[in-house]
Amino acid sequence: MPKRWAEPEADRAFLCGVQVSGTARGAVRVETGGLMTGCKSIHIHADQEGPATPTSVPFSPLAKNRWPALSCARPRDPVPIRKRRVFSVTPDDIELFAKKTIETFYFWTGVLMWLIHAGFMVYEAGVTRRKNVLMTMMKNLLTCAVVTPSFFLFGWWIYYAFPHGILPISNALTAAALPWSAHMGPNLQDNITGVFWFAFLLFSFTTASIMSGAVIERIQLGAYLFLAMVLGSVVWILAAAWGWSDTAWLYTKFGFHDWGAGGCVHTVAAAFTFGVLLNLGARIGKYNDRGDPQVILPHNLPLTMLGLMLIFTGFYAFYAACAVFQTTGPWMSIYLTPMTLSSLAFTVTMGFSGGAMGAFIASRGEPYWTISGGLAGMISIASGLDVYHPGLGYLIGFAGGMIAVRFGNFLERRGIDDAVGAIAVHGGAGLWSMLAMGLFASGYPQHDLKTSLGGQLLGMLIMVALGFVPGYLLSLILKLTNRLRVSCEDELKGLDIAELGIEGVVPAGELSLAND
Amino acid sequence: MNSSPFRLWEEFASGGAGAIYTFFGTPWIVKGICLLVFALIVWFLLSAYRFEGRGRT
Repeated sequence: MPKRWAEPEADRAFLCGVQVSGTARGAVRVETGGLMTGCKSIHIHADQEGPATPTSVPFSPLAKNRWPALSCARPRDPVPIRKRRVFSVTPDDIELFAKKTIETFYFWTGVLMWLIHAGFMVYEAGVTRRKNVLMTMMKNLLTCAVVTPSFFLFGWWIYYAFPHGILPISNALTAAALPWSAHMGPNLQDNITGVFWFAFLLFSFTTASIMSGAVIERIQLGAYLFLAMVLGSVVWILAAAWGWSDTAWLYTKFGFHDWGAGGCVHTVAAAFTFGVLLNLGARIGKYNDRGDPQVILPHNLPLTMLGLMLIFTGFYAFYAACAVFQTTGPWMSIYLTPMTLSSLAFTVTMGFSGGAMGAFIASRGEPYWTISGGLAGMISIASGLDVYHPGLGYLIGFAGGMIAVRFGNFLERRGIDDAVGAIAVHGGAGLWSMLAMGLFASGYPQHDLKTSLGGQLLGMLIMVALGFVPGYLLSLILKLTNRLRVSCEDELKGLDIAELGIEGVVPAGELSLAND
Repeated sequence: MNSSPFRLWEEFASGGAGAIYTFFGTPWIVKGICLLVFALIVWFLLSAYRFEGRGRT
């Protein structure tokens, strides 16, 4: 193996993004333009005493010797720098390393985001009654399965094709996003598209999974998977094209700012779910003859709480994947405004804390709402977490936790049977997230525009409409064709037995007898 | 509420200013936020005592 980074005389050498530093008889620093600005030349500075003249050496990858003319015009040091060369690294190597660093970052954020789906699975399994556990978990699993190929076929293309509204555009980016393009597969010249696609795919899983918990115990599997595919591969990504990129019309025309997708993921999914629930109706036994809501107890609340802890963990990766990693300059938001990854560490955690505390107080210590409040807090800070002071993030999360509890109880009293409180947590906190950004973080420059309350209000309206209309209409069509809800007999029997023919969870005593 | 410490895109994008968080230019508001956070922690702790023992009643 050739030594890539340092010759023996170097005291130290390290690579950090695009900059290599080393010491050999004095400091020698090698800098390149890096990935974002292009690797055009190498600049050498000698930092010893006395005047030093920086030398710029044109880089030629075809040159036989890649360090052909490195010299430093130093009158007191006539030794040609070529003889005390310290690095054999080339700008090509540095650029490739930078690309691989970006590739690795997004790859692992995607992998860690799977925790969200492990979390959704056990969260919903805990909430559902024992007779529906296995079917609920199957639904979560198949959400990921059905969204993946559909997002590959058309979801990724939608993101690039609709930045200006309902009419698609056509350019090099849309061509590259087509499933048969050279970029949509292993490509030695492009190792970034795949991991970006992967991160967005996991966002799609999350969006579709938000609906899954609300409709448990009575929706037909086929109907659910069809709606999940539409939500995960069409609706949310269209919302992202409109409001979650630096070319999105909500951003370029109105300064809409939704850093962590509180609108295009959480609000859109909740509005879509609301439309579906209007047609699906409540579970049998949820309301008595007078229309008063009845408590349907979770069969395993500890499992539900574990699920939410997994979701919390995965959400750090979700937010990290929302940041734009570049090898020169600061981290960027998806709108290409500067930020730091530290803002996630501060504000997401403070938002969680505030949300859990706020929900604890609002629900008078009810365990289910307390932990759901933690998630509501993490969502509440989504739109502006790149600029919030951590204390402000806590306050916004606290209010978000309270809003989720109040909104959830309000919906329940109005006859909306949302089995897991998804509309309250994701919709209530998602809307609050966009509003809070306008209330508390207006005036931030965003290229030609500034963040504003008006821009945020418009974004809220668009996100709700974009989610609700397709959710309501598609579920209405399914309802009219008798393809939305299972029969009363199957619902009472439980979907594990009715649809799968097996019992998902057998109590310990019965299991022992069966084994005997 | 205008809470940005920057007026111009060039100032914001340069990164030279360091802190970019809300109300950085008005420290008394940041201190007020911190005070409010402390008050909510106290409220939470008192609530935790108040909600205890509901199963016994």
